Amino acid sequence: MSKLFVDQVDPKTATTLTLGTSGDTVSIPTGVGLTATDEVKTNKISPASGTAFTLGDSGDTFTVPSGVTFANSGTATGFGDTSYYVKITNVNGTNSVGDISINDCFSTTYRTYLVTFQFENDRGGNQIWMRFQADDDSTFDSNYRYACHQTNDGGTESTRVSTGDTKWIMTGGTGGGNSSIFGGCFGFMYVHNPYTIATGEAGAGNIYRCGWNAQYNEYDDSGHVVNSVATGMLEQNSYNVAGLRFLPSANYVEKRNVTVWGLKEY
Amino acid sequence: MTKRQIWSRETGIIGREMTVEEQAEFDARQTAWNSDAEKLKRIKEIRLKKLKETDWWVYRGNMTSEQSSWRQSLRDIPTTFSASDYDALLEMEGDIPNRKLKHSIWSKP
Repeated sequence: MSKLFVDQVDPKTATTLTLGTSGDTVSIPTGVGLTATDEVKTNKISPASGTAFTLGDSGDTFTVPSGVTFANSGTATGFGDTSYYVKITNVNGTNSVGDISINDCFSTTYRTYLVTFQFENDRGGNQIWMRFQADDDSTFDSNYRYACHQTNDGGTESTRVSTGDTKWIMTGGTGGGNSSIFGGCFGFMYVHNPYTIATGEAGAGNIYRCGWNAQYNEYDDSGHVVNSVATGMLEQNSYNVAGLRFLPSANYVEKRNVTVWGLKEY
Repeated sequence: MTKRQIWSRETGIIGREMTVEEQAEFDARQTAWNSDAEKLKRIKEIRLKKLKETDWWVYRGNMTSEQSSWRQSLRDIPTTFSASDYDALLEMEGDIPNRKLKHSIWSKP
């Protein structure tokens, strides 16, 4: 092996200078810096030793030009807020149906779900009910404990409560003191912990795992808009809650638009 | 058969007719909701709210005879009216937002 002392290497002809041949390794020893002021093209950058690779120093700025895509298949940390909503499904329609089932919208992937909804029955005076569904798509038909407070725009307040209903009565009845009539019902609810909480994860903080909070509106028989604020628990921990079913107290639901979102919290 | 709308991860949104068992449950729900007992329950619920709305008349201490009679007529609904009247008591009229219960018993004096 011989050592070559030279201040510059240039192409012998044209403008391309080649170092080595396929299979060769060009080593730059520890302590030797490599400065390339202009573009460096390579297909892969890896750590020279160990598993850590550092880009730049504190204060440096790396610019990602417009049109560039970062395709991340691994774990990205430190990029700011990584909590966001993930749309799971939307169910909508206008034909008359006896119920709307959203079978397996819940899973172990998320702990909290947002459900936005709009419903209209095919006639006034009927109620909209909600039941949770199990893994086999059957409904939970008991153990709904809930409290709903209603206020209409005339200032009249009322409540709808149960310590053990066969369903959650969402709308209808006597919201705000008058009979509610379904001029439109729209709102949202959060569903918490439908699935068993894995060992090591934070607990639900309630005796019963799965609960919900909701806020929505409807019209009453005096033309008042009624605001309903409700919360409830499904008082059982034996089975996972996999889905939702919305159903009218009688007859049919016509207009509906339901979207389920998973909330990535962690 | 009654239609259902169903979403699942495997099928997406589908509409299908109820099975025999599902239709039976649906029919039972109609029967229960349209039973005399359930109708009377809803009538009493409306009555309670109407009375609560006008409790301030009582607290004020100078109810008119019309107001007093109207509140009494609400209390008397279960004896004044029979099951054949329940649909009329629950009937609505008008268009939103002016839709309201049609029966005159609900109109405040």
